[in-house]
Amino acid sequence: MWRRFADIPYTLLVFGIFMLELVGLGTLIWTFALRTGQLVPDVFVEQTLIAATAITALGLLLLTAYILAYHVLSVPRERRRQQRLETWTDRWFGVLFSTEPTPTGRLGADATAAAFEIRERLKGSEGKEFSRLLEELRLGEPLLDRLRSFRLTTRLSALDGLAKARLPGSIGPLMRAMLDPNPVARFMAGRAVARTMSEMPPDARRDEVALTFARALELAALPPGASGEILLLLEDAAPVVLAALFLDGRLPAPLVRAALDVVGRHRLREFTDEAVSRITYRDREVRAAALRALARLGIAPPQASDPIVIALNDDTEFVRVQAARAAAYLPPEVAVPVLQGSMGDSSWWVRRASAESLLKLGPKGIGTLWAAANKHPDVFAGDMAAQVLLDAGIKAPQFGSGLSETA
Amino acid sequence: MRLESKKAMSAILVVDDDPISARLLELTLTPGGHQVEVARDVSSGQRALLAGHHDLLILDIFLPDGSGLEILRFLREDLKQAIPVIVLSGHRQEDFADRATKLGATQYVTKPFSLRDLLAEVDRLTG
Repeated sequence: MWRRFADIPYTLLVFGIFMLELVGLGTLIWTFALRTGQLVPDVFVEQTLIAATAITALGLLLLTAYILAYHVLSVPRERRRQQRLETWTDRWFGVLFSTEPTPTGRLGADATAAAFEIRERLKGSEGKEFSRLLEELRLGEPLLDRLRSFRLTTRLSALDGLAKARLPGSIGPLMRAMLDPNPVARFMAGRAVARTMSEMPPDARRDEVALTFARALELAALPPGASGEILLLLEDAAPVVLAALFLDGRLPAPLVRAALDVVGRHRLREFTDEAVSRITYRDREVRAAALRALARLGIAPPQASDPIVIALNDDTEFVRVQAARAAAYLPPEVAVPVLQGSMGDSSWWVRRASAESLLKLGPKGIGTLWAAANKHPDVFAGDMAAQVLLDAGIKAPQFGSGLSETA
Repeated sequence: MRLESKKAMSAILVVDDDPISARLLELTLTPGGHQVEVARDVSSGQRALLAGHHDLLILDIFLPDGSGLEILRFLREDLKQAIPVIVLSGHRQEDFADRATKLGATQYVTKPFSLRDLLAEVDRLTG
């Protein structure tokens, strides 16, 4: 979008031009209609036509002039804004590292914007110190007020600012914003809470907030991708929220899926049992997420052995794919025979995942792949074994049969 | 809270399109005696590397005209320079760090970061 300000003049101009065109075209149609009935002379029609064309030309001229003037004026305006932001960046930096006094009095929009931008980029003790300073100066209060606005854009921009500011004092209002009727606002509020929580020290207060946040996340009813992103943003605070979520036996499937996804992405091994217990979940997306989490953790404890083997025969293709990937972490004496079997699966993806898992299993798995490439009752399984060996730089018996390395 | 640098006078090239991040790095490194040059994109970063000697490169991955890793590749493969490189990124995913390390990054730092820790790292790498 080329416009960053002056929305109202632009809207008025477009509306004015539209009305002029409407009048011009209306008059033209009316004049032609009168001419059809021989009620006006030709010269009158010509004059009307010229006037209507002139109106269109005038409209185009006004619009072009406005756009050009906007660009001419907005470039220096933007440059001046950047300079003010830079000045405030220098000043806030000085305040943070005690080389400048803390500003007093009412701070303008540039000071606030620069402060939030700096806060977003700071971590650790400097970030916490800066948040404390922002709370002392009450810079977050206008944003908290804007959370109550009836305009969605105002609420969203306030949520964006609060996500950058990460003010511990804003967590309560942000939790309430997670019940906003608009799902985008609920998502933005969730992100802001997560980013604020990620910087909280691991104490009883954070545990308390985690319980409330888990409940708010459930009530927000966001899609799994959105919930997953929020949970990822928790960073070091993720385990405490995940523990609260997994405690809830009636947690909706999309949220279970998101939580399992984060277990895998953050490599949270302490939740291995939670993943194992959901391999047989009623929802197939959750079953796949549990298996994917185990594969990402690179672990398959003994109690996961039977569920993974069963999942290799699941009705759903993507569950079997994930099961084949997780099987790479089972003991070779369990994994090799089952993966050898799933090499003959009807799905290309399952065959590929099975062959890759065999490769990860070391000499036993590679030996099985070699044997499969040499002689497997299923020709597709044999081809896949040869292809995976080839991609790994191991010359398979079928190398000469027209296979080439996968790009 | 104060920033203290134990090392002086290193020429550091910062390639980052984010003006606030670049300014914070400049403000952090300059008082310690480091000379900081800022480039905003891949092409100006490569020009700066060609134009002068630097003791350290601080590199953002996502730049307007390409990836910061292109600059890293240019530095290691075309210029054959072994100067230390700190890669900054908003991505915590391991594959980004792996790619940067394979191309010769010395350190991979995720944003947001601590200015004090970064300054200590710069001192260590230029010491």
